[in-house]
Amino acid sequence: MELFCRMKVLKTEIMRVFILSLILFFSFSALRSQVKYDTAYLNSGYLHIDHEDIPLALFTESSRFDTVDRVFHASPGETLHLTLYNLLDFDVEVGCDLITETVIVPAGGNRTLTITTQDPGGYGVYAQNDELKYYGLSTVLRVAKENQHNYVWNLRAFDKEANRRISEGNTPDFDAFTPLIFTLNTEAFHVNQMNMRGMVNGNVNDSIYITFAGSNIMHHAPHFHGYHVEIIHSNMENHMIGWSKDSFPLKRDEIITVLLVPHQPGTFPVHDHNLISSTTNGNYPGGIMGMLHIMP
Amino acid sequence: MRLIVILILAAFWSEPILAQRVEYTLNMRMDGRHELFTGDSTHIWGFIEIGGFGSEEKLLLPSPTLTATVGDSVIVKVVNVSDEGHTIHWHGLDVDQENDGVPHTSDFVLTGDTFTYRFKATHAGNFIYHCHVTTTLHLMMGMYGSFIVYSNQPDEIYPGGPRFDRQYDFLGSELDKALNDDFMTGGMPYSDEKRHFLLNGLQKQQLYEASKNRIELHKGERVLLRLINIGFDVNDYHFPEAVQAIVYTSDGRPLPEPFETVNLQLYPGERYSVIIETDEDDFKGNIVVNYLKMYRLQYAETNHIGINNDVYPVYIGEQADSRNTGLHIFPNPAINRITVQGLSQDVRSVQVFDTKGAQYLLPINKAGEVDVSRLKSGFYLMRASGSSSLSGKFIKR
Repeated sequence: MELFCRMKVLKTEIMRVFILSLILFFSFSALRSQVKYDTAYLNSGYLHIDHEDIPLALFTESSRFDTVDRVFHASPGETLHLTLYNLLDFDVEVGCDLITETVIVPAGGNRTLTITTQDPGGYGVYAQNDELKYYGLSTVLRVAKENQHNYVWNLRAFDKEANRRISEGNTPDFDAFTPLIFTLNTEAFHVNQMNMRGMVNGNVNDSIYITFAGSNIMHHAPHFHGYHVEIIHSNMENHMIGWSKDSFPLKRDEIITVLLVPHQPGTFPVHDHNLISSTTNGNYPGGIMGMLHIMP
Repeated sequence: MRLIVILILAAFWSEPILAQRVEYTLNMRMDGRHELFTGDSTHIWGFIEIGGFGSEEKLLLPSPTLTATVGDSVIVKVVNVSDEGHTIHWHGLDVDQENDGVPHTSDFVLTGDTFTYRFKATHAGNFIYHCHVTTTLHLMMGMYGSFIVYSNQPDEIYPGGPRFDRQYDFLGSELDKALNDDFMTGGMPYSDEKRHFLLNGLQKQQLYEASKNRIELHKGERVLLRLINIGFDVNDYHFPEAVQAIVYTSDGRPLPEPFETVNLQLYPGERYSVIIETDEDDFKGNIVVNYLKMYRLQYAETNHIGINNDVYPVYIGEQADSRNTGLHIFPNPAINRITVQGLSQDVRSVQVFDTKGAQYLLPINKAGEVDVSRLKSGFYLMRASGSSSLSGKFIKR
């Protein structure tokens, strides 16, 4: 009888330990899934567009400079540990819309920015200095489920002279700011060549999320051909959330996410309706123009 | 049984019967002249309706307003009688790719060609049609107009939506005279100094004096304003305090929650439907429309829309623009105090107007200094009192 009782206690203990292990295992897995690590480099180089060489700095994927903006991704609720390596020859203070803390990344050194995400949407990751932000150190943290159609379009307007002055360590004259080069994901739509970084592919009735970032001192007015979209998120106070629009304001430093559910197939442009921004050095079509390819 | 069959057939046929076919024939032309508020004229391009009610032989700026009723099938035949290729993009009407009017994805109407656009007007609201060939140039030359889709009930904004007693359309745009005078050498529209800031193709006194652009609003009435911006700048509308303005739709779609406002900004390509009302018996006033540049929303120019008002608000700032009277205000923007140079010694005060038309009388000392610390932040027009007729503009921070 005593042996039977001990066996019963032992069995209960084993069961308890087993359940506890299971709880610990799932808790650990859940914890692990809510933490993400990523890296990027603060890098400088040149943008070659329409026979112009424009100096700029970007967040890049590797230590080798390329003109592709590094866009960060996280799931809602995830904590992102973002380690930034500064390859520039000056310190850069970097922050994110989602947190009040900033980090000063020393020249040649690195620092980690810890960002706890919440709601889906697009959030800015950028240099705190306006000139450096304009110079190109401004990108997007896209918070979204991974299995969605997610696109990020970063819109910029460049005045070659302003960039040159910043690259030489001088203060640009923004009162005389006259941008002639306009880019979508640091690429311009050329007269005979589409911007391959501004393509959206999908099917009728898909849910397609496009995040627009106004990463410069200019305001923009994206216009969709063929469709209306729903404005679902902004990193700023925006009274248009929930509105159905084909043209909408994208203010300086604003990041807006729209939901496109195509009702018809076709190939349609999306462009800045401040039409000067739809040119490259005056050549139209150019500048800030993307394309939608919607299959039946 | 026969009655049931008839009723079923009637139900199926009723929609196609109610939904009609609207047809237009437009010529694409490049031989127009448009008179500016300064008295001189410039070259315009545009669309002209052939054979329609009220059609004219003369190109107008903007091109004629086209209309349909929600559910209508719209057929627009265009004939290009000009020396360049053109298209029509139906801005906001969400037409299919073939009818979208973008040369590199749709069709291109070459000189001497015709093309027929076909689409359905699926939503009531305010839309735009414009040429999409070298759009920066062809838009500035004048190839645009409004496209209004009415609700089934002529006095409601959209099916089941709020009703109104009267309606007015205002289409904002810009024109660069140097470019329009000579589009081959005039360059692209980057110059602000040469630009004209238009509503329905008109500016300043010219706009104000055109009776069709003067709003009639009486107590108890609801007046619908269809506001459309096809220009490159922000159209910044300020409604008078005695007027209640409620925004109901944007871009041809009802808003989830209509809202009341005193200020509405239209970015390029946007459209709104706004109903205005007043409680005053004999209200007279102006809607102020500022044009703000897209770089940093810098102020560029102002137009006024009169409400029950036929006296144009001549701010001498406008005279200063055209006559170069030399009034100098600094610092500008200012925080607490400005200095005004160019006034005669007999001037003891200046009149200051805000963008809503409110007026302030401020003393000016012998050094030409004016205390502006009690003014709210914003843009102001200044007029000198006394014998001087000088004026200027400043921004209070």
